[in-house]
Amino acid sequence: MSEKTEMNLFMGPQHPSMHGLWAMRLTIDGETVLDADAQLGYLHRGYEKLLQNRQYHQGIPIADRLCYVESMNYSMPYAWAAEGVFGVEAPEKANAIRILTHEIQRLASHSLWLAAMAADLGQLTMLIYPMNAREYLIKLLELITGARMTYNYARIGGVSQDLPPGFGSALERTLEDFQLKHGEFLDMLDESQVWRMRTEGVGIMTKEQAIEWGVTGPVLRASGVAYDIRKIDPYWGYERMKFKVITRNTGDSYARYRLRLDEMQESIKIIYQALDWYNEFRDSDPVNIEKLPRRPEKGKRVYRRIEAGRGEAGFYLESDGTPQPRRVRIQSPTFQNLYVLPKLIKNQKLADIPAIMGTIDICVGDLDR
Amino acid sequence: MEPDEFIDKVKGHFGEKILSAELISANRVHVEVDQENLVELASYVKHELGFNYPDMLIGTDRPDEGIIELIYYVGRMDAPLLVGLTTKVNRDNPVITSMTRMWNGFEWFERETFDLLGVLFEGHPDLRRIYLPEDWDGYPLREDYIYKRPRFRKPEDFDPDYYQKKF
Repeated sequence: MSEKTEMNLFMGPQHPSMHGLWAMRLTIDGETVLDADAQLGYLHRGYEKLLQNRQYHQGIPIADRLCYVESMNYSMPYAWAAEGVFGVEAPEKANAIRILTHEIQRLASHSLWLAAMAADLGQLTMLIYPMNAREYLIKLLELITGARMTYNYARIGGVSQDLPPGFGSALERTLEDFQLKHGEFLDMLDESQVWRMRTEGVGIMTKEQAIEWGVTGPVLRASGVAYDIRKIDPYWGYERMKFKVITRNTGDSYARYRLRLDEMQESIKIIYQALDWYNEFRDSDPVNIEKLPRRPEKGKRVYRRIEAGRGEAGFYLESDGTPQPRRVRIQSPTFQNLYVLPKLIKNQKLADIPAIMGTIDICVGDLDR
Repeated sequence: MEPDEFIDKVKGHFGEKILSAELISANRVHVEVDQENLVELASYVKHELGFNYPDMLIGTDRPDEGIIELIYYVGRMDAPLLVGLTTKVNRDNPVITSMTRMWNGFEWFERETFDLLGVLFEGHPDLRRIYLPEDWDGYPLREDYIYKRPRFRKPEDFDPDYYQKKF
């Protein structure tokens, strides 16, 4: 047919690669996407209002549930921002534990992302391998906190409890095992011709576009911008950790996928260093609870951010002198990364949508807040 | 760029127009201006000082002062400093020029602020509700908002042309 035939297509929320709870309205012409419009809000729970109506410490389990894939990376910055409002500081031992759990959580989050993305692209064997690897990482976090997904482990002024005895050896065993599995991931995907054909040169975002659109995390670094909050705005003692900021220059789906795999290696290095740092404070307390005042100072405003698995996660807290915060603003990385998706899939093929969307790494929990 | 250096430069360039410029915590600076000077300040901060990265938009309702406070956080790719460009809009007539022409990345943030606080951004390319349904009543993040259970909608209540519309 020579004349143009446009069609509206509703993709999601039932579509398996939409990860549950959001949808896209596409205008397509044959196999080409002409326009796209993301529809959010299926999981909107009003977290900002919810946190505003509770006392500061009551916000910790709520912040945990912000993103169910990496809860540690949201409750920790919440507790840390509340520390800024109260004017207390966590002891160094707590910071070592925070870095440790932060990086284990990043490994677990990236593993789940890899499983989901590979399954989206039809590599069903790779659905199982990273899931298996993640299981052992989750076991580690369960050993520390007693829960598998939502930990309630952060506290204002530290963490709730010390690491259990024998944790160091369990951690080393798991990481050695993970190193082997990481090699398997690369063998399965990087060597696969089909995988590379589907990801290379797809969904390209240039450096200038990435900065202008304000994307964060691995998506930004895959476009060649060396912006890692752990390096540029260090927190919790990241300035003493030795690691590389991984960047790639092509800005396509392959770059975003490969960057996350390389990041896992850096995370493993950081975990070993954090464990060594932790071992310096054997007999001290991991929480600084005696100094916590009842009420925060009036008018204090704090914005603190960390580099979570998906990018910049942060909390802006404003106090009015009462036990409840006056305003809580959540910075969630998926919101800003998903904003570019309709732009990236424009004029691409319909079948490339999962390949582009997969590398954005969507977590609807923090997208909809 | 150091926070002090930034404050000196902005104050030197704008003088009286800057209502306040303060360091609120480590590496976070809030600069407050009147609504009509915001575009000028934004243009200076972006083009002269190189803050080209849109980070976040915070809207706070303050009914006792009758205003909604907006803070645009922008950053640079080589410095930990984040600058909050602060301004106030009237709560009863919350209209302000959109910042999306300066930083495209604020598009969804402004949609969200419109959705939850009811601020109208002039010149925004696509100002619609983002989380809530398009027929939702009121703006939930306002302090005087009272939640009413939404009416159950029958199929005939929906706009039949909605899914046929070009967007």
